[in-house]
Amino acid sequence: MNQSNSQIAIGLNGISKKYAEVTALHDVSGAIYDNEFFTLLGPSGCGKTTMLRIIAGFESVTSGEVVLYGQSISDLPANKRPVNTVFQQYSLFPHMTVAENVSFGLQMQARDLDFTRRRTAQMLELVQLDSYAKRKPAQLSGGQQQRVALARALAPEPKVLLLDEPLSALDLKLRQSMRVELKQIQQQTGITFVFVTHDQEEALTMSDRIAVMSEGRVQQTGDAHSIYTNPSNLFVADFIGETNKLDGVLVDSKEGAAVCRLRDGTVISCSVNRSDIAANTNGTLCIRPERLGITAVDDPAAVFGGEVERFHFLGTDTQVVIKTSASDELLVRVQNTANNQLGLQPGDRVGLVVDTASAAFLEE
Amino acid sequence: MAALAPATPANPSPVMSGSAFDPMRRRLLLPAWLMIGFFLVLPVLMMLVYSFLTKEFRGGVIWEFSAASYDQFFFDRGLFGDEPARIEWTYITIFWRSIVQAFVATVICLLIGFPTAYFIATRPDSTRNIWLFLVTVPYWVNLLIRTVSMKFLIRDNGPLNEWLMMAGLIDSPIHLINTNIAVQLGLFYSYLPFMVLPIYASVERFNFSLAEAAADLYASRWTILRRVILPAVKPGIIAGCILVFVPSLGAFLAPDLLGGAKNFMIGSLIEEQFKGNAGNWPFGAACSMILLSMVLLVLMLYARNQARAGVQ
Repeated sequence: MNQSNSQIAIGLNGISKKYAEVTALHDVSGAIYDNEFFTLLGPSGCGKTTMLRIIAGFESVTSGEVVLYGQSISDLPANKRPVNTVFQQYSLFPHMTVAENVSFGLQMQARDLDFTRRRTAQMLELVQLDSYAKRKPAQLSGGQQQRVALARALAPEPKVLLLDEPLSALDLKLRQSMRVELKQIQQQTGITFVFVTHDQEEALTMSDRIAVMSEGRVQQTGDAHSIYTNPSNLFVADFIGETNKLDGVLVDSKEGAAVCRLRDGTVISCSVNRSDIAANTNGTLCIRPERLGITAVDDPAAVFGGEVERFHFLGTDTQVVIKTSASDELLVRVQNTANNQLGLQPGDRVGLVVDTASAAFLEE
Repeated sequence: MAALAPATPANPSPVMSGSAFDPMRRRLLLPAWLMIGFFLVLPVLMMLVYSFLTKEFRGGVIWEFSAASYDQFFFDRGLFGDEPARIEWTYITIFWRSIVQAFVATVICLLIGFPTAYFIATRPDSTRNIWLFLVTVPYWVNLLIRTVSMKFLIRDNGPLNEWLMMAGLIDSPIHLINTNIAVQLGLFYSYLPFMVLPIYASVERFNFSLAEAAADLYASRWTILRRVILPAVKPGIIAGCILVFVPSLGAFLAPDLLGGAKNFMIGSLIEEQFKGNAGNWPFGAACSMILLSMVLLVLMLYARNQARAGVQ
């Protein structure tokens, strides 16, 4: 996707939000593009929901500006902003039927009655609830309520749809199928989605781009692949997926190729995310468990040696915990295939291989 | 004796087992039933019986069946009771006036009580209880004393008129005492907390994210109130209205002390029948029964309405 050609749907210009005691957002800037599935990902309290509420108009900014398709909307109240929200607890109107809920926004916009009726039916069809139009929200399951909330927010044809952890109240199976459905609906409608979640799997599977947030700051923005493979700092590396973190010192750094020395003296070639990191910088070497390979202890390609501690069977994979001199618990993930019998016992000595691109040095 | 011990069955089954629990529960409810029986059911039954007895001249009753009290309420048969029956409007007028007064008092309490309750319910937890306490403070003083104080406040040369004249808002005192407005003031002041508290309870439970959702869907503040908040707090509003309307209907202190003879209400009419030597106990009892039937009718209509809404 060539973003420089896309129109900016939401521009965030230096947004700060301070409450009496705490600062929820520190000077956050960024752009969300037209027709994009954009995710704000982070642990609870990182400011992602505050950011969403600021875009929706439920919270004011302390400083900064929200721009929607070229127009500043910072001064508009929530009911004047052409964005709609899917709330975490759905917030359906309990005394109205499903159809009344879905048509509420259209009624408020004083749309033509005929259009309202057609659009409501169309939205209910989109979320496959056409036969539930006359029910009350309390008569629906959690998943169905979720769909009503989605239909209600989509009905007035918002320029941007905001979703505040909409799947967190659903059980796992439903959550997985809703992920696919949400993504399909986004592509079908062509509306820009801004999705807030703390669930990295959700973020990785659905998003065009992800902004990883922590402590009121955006740590990294990028597509799922680049965030997973090239985390720009330790927080991102740690928060997304599993990572082996090894303390080390950068010995030498040239264009792309660098060498790092671990605390036990092992020297390992690695990648750096910035070429200007000086030699002798302390930092952390991050290696994803699935990028480590197990080999014979006397294999010349092996960079580490270690002793197998224990196994965790995870279904598709087996996680092997290995004790090495550089780290007490090095995790290695091996895929379970029919002809891949590990043939290892706790206590066995093994060698470990890793390629340069998979070992990333991140400064402290 | 010791030889018998093994033969006796073990302790009876524990209290919580199904069969043992019910008599236990009945026993625990007994005090409540006794209270309701003695102080509610019995007096009402006495009233019902008295309303069908013959009056004794200096108060009290003669134990002789008679429907004369109900007849007196609805029909006018002339001074000697020998003319053809015409509708007696005196008491129906008093009842009608009472209903209008109680209705107006309820509406005023609602108009003032709802914003008050809403205001309190939306305060932070820390200050909410202070506001609630302030609303109930007048209740620490006896109703009679409060009503008499009100009479003192709104007299022609009372503090209210003095302040208004001092402020230059009026030239001559407003005559409030012995008017409908004074009765309304008294009723409003007496029963406002009955409106505020139930509405407060339902607004406090209201999920304000619904208001946020409505704002997100382009609703104005007024529309949010009308379409989302009011339907959700309706039970509290109805409870408040009943709690204000019913005692207002039977009130006698405020109409007596503030309204004077022209603004006679049911409560005062009934009170008169049991006071001193001039009273007519069977007639007072009949008025009470008619009032009670009216109130029950309203409550039953409401309950049926609710049941029908619940079915849908």
